[in-house]
Amino acid sequence: MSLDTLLSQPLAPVRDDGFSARIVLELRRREERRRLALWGAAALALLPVMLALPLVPAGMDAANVLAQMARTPLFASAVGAGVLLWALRPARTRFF
Amino acid sequence: MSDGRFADPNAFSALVRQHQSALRGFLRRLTRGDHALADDLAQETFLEAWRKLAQFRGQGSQAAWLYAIAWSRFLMAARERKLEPLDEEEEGFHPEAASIAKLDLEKAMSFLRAPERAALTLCFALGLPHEEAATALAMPLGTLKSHVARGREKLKTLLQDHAP
Repeated sequence: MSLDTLLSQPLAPVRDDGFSARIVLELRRREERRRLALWGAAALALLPVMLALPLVPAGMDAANVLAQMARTPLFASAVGAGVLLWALRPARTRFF
Repeated sequence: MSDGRFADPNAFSALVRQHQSALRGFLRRLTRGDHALADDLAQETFLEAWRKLAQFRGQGSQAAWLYAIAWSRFLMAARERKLEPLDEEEEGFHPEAASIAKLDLEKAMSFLRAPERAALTLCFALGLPHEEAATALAMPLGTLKSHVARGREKLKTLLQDHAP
């Protein structure tokens, strides 16, 4: 048998034996971790909003509360961070 | 692939199943038969492929793209674990070192340098065109052809010297 013929013989087949399943399992784990990290970051970004929430006086309507919140710099920063996070999210984790 | 067909892990598993045998075979040859290391590298290759799905532009075959990732993973592992010298141009080839009564192709391959093993395997056993193999191994076409020619010469010597 010539060397080229010998070299051209296909590689010995490798049985899957759960290899593909393990890869997919690991992928799912990683995607789940990434998703949790994204939600964690979103929650962190919302934290200043919660801290900046004014104590709502009794009888104040929702529109007034929102208007008051919108004027706080912390709220604006948090919304900005949230929007940025949403815009920069990886393509495969677009779950919202 | 960049159109999102494999964006779901289940869909991606079809790609893994399709290519796992050839990829693991390629890595087994690169690692000189270290099956455990080859499988670790194969897993890393597929996970990296998943991360880089968006970067695959459809130029060349999926297989060549996977071999390119596998080759870079192998080089990293070889450097980290000092598996074999990679940067030396030619550290000397001593066919007499192959003191095996009957040398088969796999054994003979293990006496070649990694780029020669990779080039020969991609071009012959895996049937990639020279251009795709050169791209996968991140080397100029001329360099790939040199590795192929040098590897063939070494194999000829090894297999003739030790023919039964």
